Amino acid sequence: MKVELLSPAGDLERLKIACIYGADAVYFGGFKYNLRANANNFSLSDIKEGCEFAHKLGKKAYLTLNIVFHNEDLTDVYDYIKEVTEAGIDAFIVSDLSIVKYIKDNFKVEVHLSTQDSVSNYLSVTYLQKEGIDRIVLAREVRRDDIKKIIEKTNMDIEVFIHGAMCTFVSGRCVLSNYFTNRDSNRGGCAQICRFCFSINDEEEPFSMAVKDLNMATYIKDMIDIGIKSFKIEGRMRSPFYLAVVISSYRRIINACYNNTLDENLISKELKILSRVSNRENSTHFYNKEADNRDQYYVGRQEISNQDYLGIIYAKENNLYCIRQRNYFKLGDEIEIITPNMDIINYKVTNLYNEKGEKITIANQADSIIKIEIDKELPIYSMLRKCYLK
Amino acid sequence: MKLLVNLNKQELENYLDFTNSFIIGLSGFSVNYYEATIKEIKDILSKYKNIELFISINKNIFNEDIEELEENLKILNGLKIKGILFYDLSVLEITKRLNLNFDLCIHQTHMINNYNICNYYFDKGCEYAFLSTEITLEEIKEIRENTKSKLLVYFLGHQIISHSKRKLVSNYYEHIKKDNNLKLNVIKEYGKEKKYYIYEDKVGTNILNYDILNGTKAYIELKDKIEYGILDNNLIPDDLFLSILKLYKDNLDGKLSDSELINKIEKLIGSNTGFFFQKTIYKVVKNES
Repeated sequence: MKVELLSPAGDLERLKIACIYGADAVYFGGFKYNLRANANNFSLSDIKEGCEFAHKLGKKAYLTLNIVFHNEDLTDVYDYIKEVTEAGIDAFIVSDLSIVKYIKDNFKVEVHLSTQDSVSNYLSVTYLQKEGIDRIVLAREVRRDDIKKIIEKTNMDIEVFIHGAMCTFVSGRCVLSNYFTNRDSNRGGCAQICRFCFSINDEEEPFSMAVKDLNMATYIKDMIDIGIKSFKIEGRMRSPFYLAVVISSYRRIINACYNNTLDENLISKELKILSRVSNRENSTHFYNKEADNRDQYYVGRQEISNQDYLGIIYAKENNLYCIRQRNYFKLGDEIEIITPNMDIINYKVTNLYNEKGEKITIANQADSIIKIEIDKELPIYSMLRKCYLK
Repeated sequence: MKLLVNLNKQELENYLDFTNSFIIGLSGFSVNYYEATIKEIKDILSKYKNIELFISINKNIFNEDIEELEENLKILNGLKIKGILFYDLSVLEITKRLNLNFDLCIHQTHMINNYNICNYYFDKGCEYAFLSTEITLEEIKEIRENTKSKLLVYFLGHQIISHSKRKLVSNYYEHIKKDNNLKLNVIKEYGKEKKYYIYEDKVGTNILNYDILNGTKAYIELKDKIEYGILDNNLIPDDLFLSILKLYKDNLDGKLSDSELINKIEKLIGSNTGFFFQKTIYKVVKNES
């Protein structure tokens, strides 16, 4: 069985984009009980619609229920579990073992243990296996050989993060946000204090605890070989464009692993795509070494954004594609169109219309609707970006 | 309620007039505790016959630790320790597998926040639960009403706020190409005056609150309801800590009124009450529909 590519979905649109751009499964949170309280998140009807959409495409849908529960959170959660189970989710992602037990005792739905529990050895996995847990998202601090040994000794379904932002601190063992901002980091309010700028011992140079992002593109083949069952992308707050690019990139790498077409050229090209869409540097962190000074930032926030994302095709009217525009482009620009079936099409902008169908020469209003005539059949949710692969 | 004191050294003569219950770490297996070797633990137990000694095994356990952990637990099982405070579930698995008979206390730092999780571990044979320092007094009372677990509540000390497997401070000094011989460092957010301690140990980096938590008001309300109240002497000068300990003991013995205790402790360490009287928040964007 092929390894699963698991994508975040901050809302229904992102869920659809993740599914059509190559994710095998998506994870998302409801309005309560999940560790991204600031994402748009899903209403019950969104959950139902999201599950139906995913299932039609043969994909799975997982719901995060992974806060560290306080007493007050217990009041309604049991009804909620029933409702979302009936809405069609394939698994819960949970950190509280009393909630795990409740679900396993009452429903026939999978339970995945959240990375919030920082499981890092085979005996803990053995314990959890006996509790009926179907899959474990291992601690981010676990190394390659540890993952391999855990799988060999337990045969448990193991999920690991392969891409996205990393926590500086051990998951579940950081409440900086509580103390600095009164926002509860273990209930979805994390204010990312580790990315703040500090002084230490009155040194002149600023002190930062922030770490680089994770990017495991070069180790995907090895990770498949050691038996990992699911590759998780971080980022329920990320943009649709980011998701489309990252998911399709890893989809191509995974497919190439199974088709025996993986080579250095492909990896090199995908690394370029992945680094372009990321706003931070990246590293493989703990996978093949102890994390060290190369994995850390030292001068506060290091996010650099670019204007690559030009817009998304959301409809076709007659022969015009309707595009929700994001960044500036103009007539004559060479752009790329990425599509859900993983094509990357080079295109020169030869015509541009505003929402009313009037000719324009530049597209320079974020979130405005523009239209373009393109002499190719393009699926909805294809995206336009600046040309950088030439 | 008994007073439970961290041991940050082997000598505990000074404390014995006030309590006989202690926590100590185990070499190679603890975070933010003095890490005693098995020999040191044996020496303590042979020298002080009437104490209750809890051992904190609260680091994240990796495969490479398992063999030594198992050996240590077997040895500890043969000693007269009171119990094991544990973070990682491998400790529970080994204890069950080998049928070890010390008491178990779930000690997952920031994760034990509700009565159902206490009950879960109670049903798994963990008689004790060490509650999170990020919950309110009212939440603790509600937990008390809804669990049979014996409760440990942290009332006073520089509580731990975060733990990383990374060497964050050494990495920084390597980056700026300077030596740093300080074992204990102080950080401040830029533009703010509030300080935090940060230090590295064998397994990573820890951040502690700089201002001592003063949970005396909460202690007054909980002393008849919980089994152990923790007073953490880590980073507190010994003479100051002994003064605090004596005041708490006098209060427990009825020699010092509740209001006098509150006033005196506040004069010694200030009035940082942590989250006992302050709920944390988390943004929920919109209501379920």
